[in-house]
Amino acid sequence: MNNVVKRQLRRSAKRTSLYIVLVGIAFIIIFPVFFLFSFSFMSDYETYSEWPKPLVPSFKANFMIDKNTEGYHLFIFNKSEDGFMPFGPLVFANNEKDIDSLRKFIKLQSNCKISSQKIVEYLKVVDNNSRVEFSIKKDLLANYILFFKVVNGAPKAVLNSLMVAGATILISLSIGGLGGYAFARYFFKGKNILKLSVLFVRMFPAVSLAIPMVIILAKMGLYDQPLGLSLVYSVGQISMSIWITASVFMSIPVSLEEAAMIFGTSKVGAFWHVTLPLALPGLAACAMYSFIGSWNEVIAAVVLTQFNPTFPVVVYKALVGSQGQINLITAGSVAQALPAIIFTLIIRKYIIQMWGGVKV
Amino acid sequence: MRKVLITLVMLSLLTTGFMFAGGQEEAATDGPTSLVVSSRLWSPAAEQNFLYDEVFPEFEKENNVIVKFEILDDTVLLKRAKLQAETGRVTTDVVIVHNGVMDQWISNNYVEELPVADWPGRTFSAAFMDSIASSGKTYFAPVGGDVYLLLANNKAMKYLPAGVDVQDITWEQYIDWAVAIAEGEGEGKCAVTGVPMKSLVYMYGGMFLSYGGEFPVINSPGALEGWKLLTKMHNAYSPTVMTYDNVTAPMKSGETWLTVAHMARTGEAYRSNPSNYVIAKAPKGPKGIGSIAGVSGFGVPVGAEHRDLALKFIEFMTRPEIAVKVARGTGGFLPPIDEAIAVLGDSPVDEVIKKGVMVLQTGVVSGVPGSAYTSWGAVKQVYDDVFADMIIGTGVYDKAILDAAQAKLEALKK
Repeated sequence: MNNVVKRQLRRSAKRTSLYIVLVGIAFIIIFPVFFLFSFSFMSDYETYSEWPKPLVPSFKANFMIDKNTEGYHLFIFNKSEDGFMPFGPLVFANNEKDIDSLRKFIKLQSNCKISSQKIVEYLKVVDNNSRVEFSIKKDLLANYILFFKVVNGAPKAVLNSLMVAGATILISLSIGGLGGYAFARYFFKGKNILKLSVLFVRMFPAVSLAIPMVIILAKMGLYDQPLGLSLVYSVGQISMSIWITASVFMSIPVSLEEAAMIFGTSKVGAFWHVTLPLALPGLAACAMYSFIGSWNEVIAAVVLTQFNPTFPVVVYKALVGSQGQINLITAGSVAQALPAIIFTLIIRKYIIQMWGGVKV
Repeated sequence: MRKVLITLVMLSLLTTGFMFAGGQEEAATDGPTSLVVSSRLWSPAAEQNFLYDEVFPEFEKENNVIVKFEILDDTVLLKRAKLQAETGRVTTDVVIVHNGVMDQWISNNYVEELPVADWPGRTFSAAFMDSIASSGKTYFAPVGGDVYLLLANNKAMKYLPAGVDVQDITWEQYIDWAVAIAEGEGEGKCAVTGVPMKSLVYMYGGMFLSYGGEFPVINSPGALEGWKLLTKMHNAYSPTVMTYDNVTAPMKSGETWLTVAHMARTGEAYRSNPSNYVIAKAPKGPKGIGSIAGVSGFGVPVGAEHRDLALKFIEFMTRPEIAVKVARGTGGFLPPIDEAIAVLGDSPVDEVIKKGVMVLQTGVVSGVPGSAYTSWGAVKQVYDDVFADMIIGTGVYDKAILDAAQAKLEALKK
């Protein structure tokens, strides 16, 4: 084996090892997220009664009803057992009360809707043939619907979160952007120390700031208000915005503003027409950080809200309160993640532009 | 690009505008009164939804009021009560607290006496009177009682020792059963809360009561008898037992087949598929069925802004028909009102409640003497440590470990 072949083999081995590591890392990151989504579409029965867990949720459930001297019995098909397993009450009768209880049970535990009339029809078949098997299409969005139905105040909490995120973006972008511009364009004594000091607020845990903030916000009449929460979030986000926008403004040559002013525009005009459009990717990045930061934050929000919680607080409380309802919680978690994903997708091109540098 | 920036700014301005508009609207509205209910009970979302859909509307309609219900744990509720008492700004109208801390509420004068004599047709369960009343005055109206029950997956039934009735089982038989399952299946299938500072202390404490022990003494003669038996369970617990913070999930998934646990947790697994489980009273010992019994209670903070409405709310919630409706809709807690217990039927949730009532009425029950210790969490940890060392760890009975643990408990006493 000559040296060239040896070198090629060594390179291939290195590359293969690298790809294995990368695929492993991707798997570790993607797999839990995949399961989060997958569980959010599974019924309570699928989530808890089947092992190994299915990778993809089923689209229908198969049932069987049979009868003996005690009464009727309901069964559900279990993939792990590869057969029908007892499901629901030990025994039920053909009366309005039992049928209605059974209908509700099937809906709650298997996410399948069936009318009382249909059950009665099946019971008639059982009376003649001793058993009946049937399938019901699963309501894939049942967990999402149930989450927003059973988790008190979830829809209002979504609105609260949007308000908080919107106001946080506004406050942090306006103040942080102006601060960043000042750091980028002006020279003054203690500039570097001041620039470094704005990061100090980010060095304290959110909860340690939240507790004194309760007192301050209560005095301002903003406790348990979206605006109060956005003010608290802005404290940390402003410093981040200053650093990001300062570096962006620094990368835009001053000569461009000067050229615009030579052609007759004012200092503000030069900023508005020349610098700001070029700085948009940086501002978009700030907006993204502010949105995601405020949208997902939960610790301070738990402390600073009481009856007007944000959506993450609602999901958190549902998680803490739930016992054995993981499918419901995953639905809430996915619902929480979606707006952040959508927002990031909307502004992704500006983020990519920023990473790629400002093109003049 | 500028359009995007303008859109972003406009959007932010709009949301801010919404906030202020919303605030002004709220301030200007002269709607129904809000009754603030702060509770440690009914934390699962489904239970709160039940209350909002099925229970509160009737009261709200009767009294032109909106019930604002929030979940807080007992520690936070007590801290808030202290703060509100000191500042004189009482924003909570009704509290629902655990009996373990009721004496602190009463001794600190945080709650006022309830006019129970004016509320006919209800008799509060005698088992909880020591907690809810003091010096002949009733300060709390009981709600959501709980005891410990046995739950077995049908798959465990084939290992039940011959001649044993699961509805009348002893601790020795229960342990033999758990061991037989482990031997037959090649791994333990018994569940308990292995995550520290959860409910292991109550499950074991209940067992020790059935042997004449005193809760939470860890080395009483009765407790020593219990520990000797429990060491046999070394391999009978599930291999992942130390990760269980409640038994509902492993019992629902079939990872474990056997448990003695809080009736709300066993009830939740049972109701998920009643035909898959057998539910029974907790096992018994020489002194009968032992169980730790807990209860929560409605109270009205001294100085509550809507005091009269708060009392009306408690009167409403303790009506027997409402109490039983709440118990059925919120996971099978006991309605600690005698008249409510009398109307139970034979539905799965009523079965759970009835089993609990049997334990409460016929068993050796003890409350949670949380206020006698500087930290109840530390007491739990002492039990958790012995469990980890002696049951899961060595599986060998060692009185020295128990004596050392009791010394720690003594040191934690106030």
